[in-house]
Amino acid sequence: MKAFAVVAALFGILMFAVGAGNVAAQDQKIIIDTFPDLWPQYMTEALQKAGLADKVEIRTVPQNQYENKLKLMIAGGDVGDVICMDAPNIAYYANEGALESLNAYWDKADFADLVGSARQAMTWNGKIWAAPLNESNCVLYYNKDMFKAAGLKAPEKLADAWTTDQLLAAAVKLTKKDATGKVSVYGIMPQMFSIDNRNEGMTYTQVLWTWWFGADILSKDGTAAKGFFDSPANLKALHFYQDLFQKYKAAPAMPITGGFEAERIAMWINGPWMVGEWQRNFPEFYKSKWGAMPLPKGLAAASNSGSWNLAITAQSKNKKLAWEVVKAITGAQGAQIYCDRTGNLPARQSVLAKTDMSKLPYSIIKEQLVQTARSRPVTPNYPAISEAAMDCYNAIAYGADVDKTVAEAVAKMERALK
Amino acid sequence: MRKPGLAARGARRFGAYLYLAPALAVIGVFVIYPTANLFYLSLCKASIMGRTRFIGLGNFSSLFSSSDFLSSLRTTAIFMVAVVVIQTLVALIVAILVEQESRSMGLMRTIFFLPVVLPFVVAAFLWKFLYNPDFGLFGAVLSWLGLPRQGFLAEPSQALPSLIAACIWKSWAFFMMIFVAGLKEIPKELHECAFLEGAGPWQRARYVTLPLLRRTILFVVIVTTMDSVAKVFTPVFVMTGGGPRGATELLVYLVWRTAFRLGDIGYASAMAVFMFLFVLAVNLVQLKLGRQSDE
Amino acid sequence: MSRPSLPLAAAARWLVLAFLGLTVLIPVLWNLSLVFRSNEEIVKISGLSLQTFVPGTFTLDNFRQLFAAVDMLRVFSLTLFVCVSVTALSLFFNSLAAYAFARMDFPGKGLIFALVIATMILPIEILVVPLYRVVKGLGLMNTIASLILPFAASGFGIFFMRQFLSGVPRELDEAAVIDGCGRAGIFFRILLPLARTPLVTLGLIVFLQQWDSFLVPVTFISKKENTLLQVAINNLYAHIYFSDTALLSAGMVVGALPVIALFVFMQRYYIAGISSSGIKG
Repeated sequence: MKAFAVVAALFGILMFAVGAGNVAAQDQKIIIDTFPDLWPQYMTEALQKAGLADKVEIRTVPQNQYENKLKLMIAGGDVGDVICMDAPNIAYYANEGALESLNAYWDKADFADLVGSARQAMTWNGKIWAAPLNESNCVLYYNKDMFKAAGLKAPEKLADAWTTDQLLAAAVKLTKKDATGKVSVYGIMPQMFSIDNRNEGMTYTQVLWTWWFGADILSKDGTAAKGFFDSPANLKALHFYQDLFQKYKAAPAMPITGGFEAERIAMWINGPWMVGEWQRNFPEFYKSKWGAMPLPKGLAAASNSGSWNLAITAQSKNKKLAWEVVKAITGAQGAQIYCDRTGNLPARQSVLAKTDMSKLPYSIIKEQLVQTARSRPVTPNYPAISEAAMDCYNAIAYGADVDKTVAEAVAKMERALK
Repeated sequence: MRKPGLAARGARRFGAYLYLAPALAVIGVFVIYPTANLFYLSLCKASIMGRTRFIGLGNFSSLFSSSDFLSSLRTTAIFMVAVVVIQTLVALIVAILVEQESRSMGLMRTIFFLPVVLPFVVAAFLWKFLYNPDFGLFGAVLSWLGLPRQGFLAEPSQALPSLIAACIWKSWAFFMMIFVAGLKEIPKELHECAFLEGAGPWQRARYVTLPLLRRTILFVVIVTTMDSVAKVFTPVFVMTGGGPRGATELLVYLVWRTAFRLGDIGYASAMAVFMFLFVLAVNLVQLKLGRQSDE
Repeated sequence: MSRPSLPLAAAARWLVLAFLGLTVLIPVLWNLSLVFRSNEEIVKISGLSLQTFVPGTFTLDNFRQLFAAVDMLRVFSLTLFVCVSVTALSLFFNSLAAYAFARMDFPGKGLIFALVIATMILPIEILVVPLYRVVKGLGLMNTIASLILPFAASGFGIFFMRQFLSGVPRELDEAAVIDGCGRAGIFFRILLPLARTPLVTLGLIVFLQQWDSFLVPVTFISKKENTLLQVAINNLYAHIYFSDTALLSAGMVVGALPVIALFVFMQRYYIAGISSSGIKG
């Protein structure tokens, strides 16, 4: 009977489809969820050193989908044993019950090896939730040739850091127009990516402007945006930020692919990982073009901090082994390998002590990290807060009315905090 | 043929459900239940991670003070009107031009149809590249003409028109085909008659083609309206991510972003309820107008 | 309209058609040219010249890199499996239901049919949030099943098949009954063979729809091994500081070629489907 064969075949497809999801091998490997830009190969190298590499499987999803995939995997019950997360999101995931508290795992003396900002970032609601891959801190990169041509001299020590007004003056001076009046070189890229982006790197660097003007996104306890993000100080900061783009045309409102490396942007706020990026992809530029100086200071000196961390999921069936894996990657030995290969800033004092901090940008970061580093707001609603903030900074850079845009952002934040 | 007994007749009557069961199970579980669930979720504060708490109409009241939602409604309306008007006109005019049966017209129709069969992800990237301010073809054409390069998708004031152009490019030929089919239904004699009575091409279009094409036009407008509201997730996701400055944040994308990036599925559901009501209204209008044109 | 019109009008017509044809072909050809270039060459495209459309140094390296970066065999066969499964299941389930609606009387028929028809207006985009909860509740997150089952039947498919089956004369059924056919026999031996054209048409529509499917796989699937083609293409565009235009172009070609080929061969059925849906809708 042909008909029955058809029905049987269809039934077979159905069963296979349903079954396919459940066939996943039940081996005891520890699964790490991360994304390719976070250098999984160096996590593997650290694991090899510790003899754990064959017990671990590293899964990646694309960077721009990582945050929403992570939420879906946790919700769907098939997240890995270990996940990577950006520091300010720790509170969110911990509050959702997705993480295993690491209080019982961390050795007290070992935890004390972390730098202060990292210790703080790992802790929420009185408990420890993660272990840092590295710490982070941004500097102001600049193009040496352009500085020379403009007769500018970059400060080398934190004590000599520019004020925001000095920075503005330099940015305006470095901006070049061609014969048709079109900007050919922009003075500064005042955040990590171009302003059409929605990526945590935006908030991470844009919040600096708020801090330099003595304001903050949320209250200290992370429960209120009203009176903070819309404070007069922040409005001043945002006007200043907007003027860079709109009034002075010193910052690009359009994406310029590889703008800094192509010498179409003179200054850029970004982290130490860029140096490795240039070494790999822009060797000529790496050799002689770039310099680094401390971030400017306004009313307050401030630099950013907080980077990627490993946490153990509440769903993990083998938390003990998962902790061994976390320790192998983030412990003194693993962190040494990871930070050395990626050019990232170590989050451990013992590793920092072994790192050559005499070269740029580390000679600057060394000072900033101790004296001016701050963390982004700590709140379990961070994802919504951050997106509201970066949308606001971006809209203002595009020329939106400052007061109105800030009021809208505060309304979004207050709703998220409720 | 023997008359079946009562029991057998009963079995026959209910045997129908056996044939319906698989399809109804699928539709019930994956369409009807989710629809009901959508309304329930819209009344909840619900996290994507699973915590759900009933809060009544709270989501709806904050929707109307949400700048994101209101600006997304505006963007969606502009997008919809532009696509419906431009796409329908282009499709109709070209359909009239290529309706004739000939080898060359058949070839033209196939060429026009190429974008329709392209996967939307591919078409979206194709246009993303065309618009690229650094190496895109449009920028190259502009600078060849001695005009300044434009930001297109990266420029808030240009992003929405750019997106609209890409979406129309992708879909207009589909509706052209529907118009061609509609035109074929019009008896040739009517045109011959009008021609013999001295009607020019414009008059023939106005008094013969358009009235007889009313049903098809109505169908195309309704389908385009629905598609321009619902079937636009892929181009927004691929080309702009809703930016720059929210200029291309169509409602479908805002719903998705609120649910799956920000994890607020209750709030996202409240927005989706609006889309649901809109789709319902459009279909009721179609029913009503469809009846009228039958009379 | 089939009469010879003024030469001026004919020229104008061809001008319009040629222009529209170029708006379709030029972007496609330009994109095709990217596939054979290196990224270094692509970023140098600036003015209009022959170089804008013809690669300076012709390279197939992008395809090599594509197949190194993505397990294309797996992605391809999985996508094909999903598309074929959805097509097969939905054709079968929809025809069964359509048969019941076209030929049988049963309590609640009007109501059930109205409900089924009503689901036709609901696009998946509106339902994706609660659908996610259903998929999660069934434990199907991240599985192939989550890509197949929700589409294994549809209001449109049932409606489409019912339209056809209602048009088949009932005398055929009666003759089959005399030959000793039961209900199933009528369906499998008489109606389905007659329905070849609508089945192929509907199958083609469903298949192409699934091939194009993006929202559901990009939302429900995070495992690399369950990634479908369109998502895999999108995932090529995911680096922070650098976009690999050349590699992505190669992915686009691979993603588009099969459906274009399918369309060229099956054009007749597809156009027939569009036409009938337009006129009767």
